[in-house]
Amino acid sequence: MSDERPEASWGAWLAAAQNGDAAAYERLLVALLPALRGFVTSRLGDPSTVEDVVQNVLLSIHRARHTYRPERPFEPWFWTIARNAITDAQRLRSKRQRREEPLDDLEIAGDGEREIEAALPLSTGMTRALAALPDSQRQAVELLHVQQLSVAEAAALVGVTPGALKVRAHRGYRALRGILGERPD
Amino acid sequence: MGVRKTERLVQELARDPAAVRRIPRLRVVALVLTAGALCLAALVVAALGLRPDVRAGTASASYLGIVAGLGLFSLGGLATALGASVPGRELLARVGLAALAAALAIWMAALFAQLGGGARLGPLDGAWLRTSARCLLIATGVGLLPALALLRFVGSAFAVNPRVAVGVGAAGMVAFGSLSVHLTCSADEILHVASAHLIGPLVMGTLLGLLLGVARRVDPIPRA
Repeated sequence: MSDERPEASWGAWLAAAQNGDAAAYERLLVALLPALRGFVTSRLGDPSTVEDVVQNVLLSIHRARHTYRPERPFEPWFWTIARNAITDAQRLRSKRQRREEPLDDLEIAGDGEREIEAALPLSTGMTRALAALPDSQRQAVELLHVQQLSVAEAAALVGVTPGALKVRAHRGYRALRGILGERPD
Repeated sequence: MGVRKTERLVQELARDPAAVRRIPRLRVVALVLTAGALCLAALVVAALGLRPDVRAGTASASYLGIVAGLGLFSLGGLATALGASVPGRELLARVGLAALAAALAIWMAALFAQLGGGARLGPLDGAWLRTSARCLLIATGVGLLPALALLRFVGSAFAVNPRVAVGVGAAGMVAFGSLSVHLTCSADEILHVASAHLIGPLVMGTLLGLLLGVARRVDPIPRA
């Protein structure tokens, strides 16, 4: 009995792609996306990194496509690549988390924010001080405190993780204090 | 935003449809590497001559256990390396790892049996050092060429676990060299056998594999 599942064609499409069939290759990559997105989302849980990991898996498939042998099943080959990309992403995330300090621990959130806003109204001095910051720090401070975006929204807009955005903002606050004559930390 | 980037990436990848050369079947790679390593080992045996008790067919069961363990370790190392080099072949890698564990258990049992049978631990003197260094060098030398060939394959494939593939694979190839040493060396002292026929060559093989793997830039799956 022949296999009627759509997945049954994946191996044949990759075999055709190995022989230079661009249409089969595009068909394969497009067909993989829904299952791949679902798999990555279920494993990572963090929607902001799902597309990054999906793109890494696609790149890995491209780099590894010569290792697929048509006489073997396609799915174990594909899911191994996907699982490894997820493991890499999880490792990277935990490495980042170890490197970055949560904003709360740095006493910047809550009262700290209000203190800064009270002490530093958006005056000419503040505008000048903001202009003196490196681009990444200025952008983080402006998004959070001028445009009043949430950390998640600002991070998505900039294309970094929320943790990275918090660190940029924290460095920006510290530099602002220095520029405006307050003791940095 | 990210979804659009993904769709663009799919189109870009599909625009690069260059035909690729498939890697050979793992069975063929395994056969070629095993045959090559066994030929080199046979050359060493032919040059140095079999141990008298092996030639006479009177070798002890524990001695033959170590020989069998070395054979099992070689094949297990090869299977692990090949299984870890290609996505979707985890089962082969697991079988290889099980063979490695079985080989280690056989060695331990054989060494304890030899100890129980009254074999000497051996003096740790200059002669021991010289003999051990000689055995170690022969084992590593025999395993070097097959290890390089294996690393070349691992580098051209897509190692899911590159460190395991190169480290364990090279140790397996050096174990073929140990096999030739164990069939020719008459020294039976436990410390010599353990350090120069078993543990030493495997440590050398693993280090060799890791160093050559780094030098050949056996690349893992791209990082996020």
